[in-house]
Amino acid sequence: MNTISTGEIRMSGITCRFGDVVAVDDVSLDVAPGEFISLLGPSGSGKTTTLMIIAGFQQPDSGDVLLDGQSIISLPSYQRGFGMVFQNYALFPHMTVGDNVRFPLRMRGVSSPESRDAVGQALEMVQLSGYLDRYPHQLSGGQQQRVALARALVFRPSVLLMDEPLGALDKKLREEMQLEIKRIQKELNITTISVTHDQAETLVMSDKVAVMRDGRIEQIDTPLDLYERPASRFVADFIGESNILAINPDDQGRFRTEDGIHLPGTENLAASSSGWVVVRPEKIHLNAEATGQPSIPAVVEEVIYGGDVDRYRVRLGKSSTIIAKQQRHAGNAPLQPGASVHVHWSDHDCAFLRQ
Amino acid sequence: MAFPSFHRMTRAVSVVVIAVIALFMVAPVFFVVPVSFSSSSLIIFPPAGYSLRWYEAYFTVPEWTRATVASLMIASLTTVVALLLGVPAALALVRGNLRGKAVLAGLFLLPLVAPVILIAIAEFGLLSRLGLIGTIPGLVIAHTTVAMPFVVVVISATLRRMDANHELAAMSLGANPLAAFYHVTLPLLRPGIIIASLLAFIASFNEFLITLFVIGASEATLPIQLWKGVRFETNPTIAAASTIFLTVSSLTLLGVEAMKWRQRRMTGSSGDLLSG
Repeated sequence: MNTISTGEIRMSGITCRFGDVVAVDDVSLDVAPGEFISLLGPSGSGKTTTLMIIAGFQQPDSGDVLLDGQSIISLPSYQRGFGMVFQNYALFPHMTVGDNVRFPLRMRGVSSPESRDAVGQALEMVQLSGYLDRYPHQLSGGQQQRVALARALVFRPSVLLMDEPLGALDKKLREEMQLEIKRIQKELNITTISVTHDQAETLVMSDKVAVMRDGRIEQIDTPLDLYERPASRFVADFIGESNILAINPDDQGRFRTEDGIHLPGTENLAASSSGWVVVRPEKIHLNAEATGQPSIPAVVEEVIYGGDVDRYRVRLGKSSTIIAKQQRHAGNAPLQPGASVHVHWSDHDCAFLRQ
Repeated sequence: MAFPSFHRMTRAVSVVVIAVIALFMVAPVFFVVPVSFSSSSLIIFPPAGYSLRWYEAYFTVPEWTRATVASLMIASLTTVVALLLGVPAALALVRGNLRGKAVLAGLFLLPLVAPVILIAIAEFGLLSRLGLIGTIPGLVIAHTTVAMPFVVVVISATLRRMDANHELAAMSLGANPLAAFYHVTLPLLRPGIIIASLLAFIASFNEFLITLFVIGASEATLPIQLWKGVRFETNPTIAAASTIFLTVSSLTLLGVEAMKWRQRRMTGSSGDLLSG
């Protein structure tokens, strides 16, 4: 394999069918060298199949995968030279940690003193230096995850593939490993493609996120843009928490909800079609008195205590309720259920989605 | 419990029932053990005196030693052939991407459920046409028919319990399919292969009816020699032979259990290889 690969991956027009089911439907994706891309989607969205095609475990019906501009579609997985971390780590149970990490070097015929150094470095990188002679079943889930990472990186691959890498860990460990993996990935500057259904994970780890649905890429963007400017109702719903309100233009071209409420932030919309307004709960201001800004009178229906953040369910009209999140600051008394409030948000804090 | 005395009673009853069943099933078998140590040349139970003369006879009379050697050799060869055919068959059935897997799996297991007499007649027909009646290759072929299903069952179960990602992981790390099989699949299959070999060995070592049909005029195997012994010369040599026979079979089964126990301890799983 080309050892001076930059790790630039380009997928073009990949389609893959299983019988009548189109698992991957004309997917194209460019990954720059050193970039961390997550494939995010519900189960059955085609994200794992896409990863398996890049890894060389699944042949697509059409389309091509390029590494540094050269087609690798006909190369078997063992000649692609990509590191891969599997969902349940797939550590070899009959080998020690050291032998697991040494395996890819052995397959490449690396001499033993050289491989000893490389294995030592790889285990040091994942902070498991003293674990050389342990067996996988003697390790905790987090430690197994680290060994899998060391094994996938020890041969300096140009690309790292991960299939639900943190799916088997508990929440606290998962958050710790997110930062750990991110640190190592940046340190090695390795192109990384990770599959997950956990949107919080992708927002923390990825440079870019490709949201997949029914075998297609629905939107590909930075975590920030994906969160702030979802391109479709599906993405708005899937990433984070959203208030999604259907709106229609009235006779004067002003947008109103189904029960006739004019929403702030929609004055300057040039669109004449119906659609949705998307507002994140933390972008919504609730004021006890009108502040002069365009606002909607509303009533607090429920207060959900959440430690540092209070969440309010607020009724706008007859049929619309929204969720608003408010930080608990020193000295601001929480609103009570039944309180009348004025709801407003800034123009740039809401997104409009055409139907 | 609300009725501790009732609970204790049912428990006591079931222990007794199990003991009685075990006694009825096993006792006749172990009846031969004391008889084999008898000093008398008649089969009397309990023996009037004890000696090792029948073991001496067993180890010195050429018919018995030759039959034992023949049985050991045929069982070993059968084990090797059954593994060479059964392991790839199980791999194809579990990992392969082929049509009609269920039908194929059923066919492989057919010798376990088909009446042995039918297999014996069929083997006789086939081997006589091939001119292999009474030859070692003929006996090995016939025994493989009944030994291979054990290999297919055990190896399939082992493969099904094994994470297929191990093989993918090996390949993603640079192992070609052959290297992945050799370094990863095969070592993980090893406990299964040992259990399968023991079962295949015992299937051949114990096999009587089919052997009777295809053995022709050649040297007897141990079960055949026992049968002849019972028919033609009733003295405690057959008890000594039976005891040795019983010991080999029991040790083999004990080996299977030990392997299963080791496997469970290694993987921490409680699944049973044979029922998996």
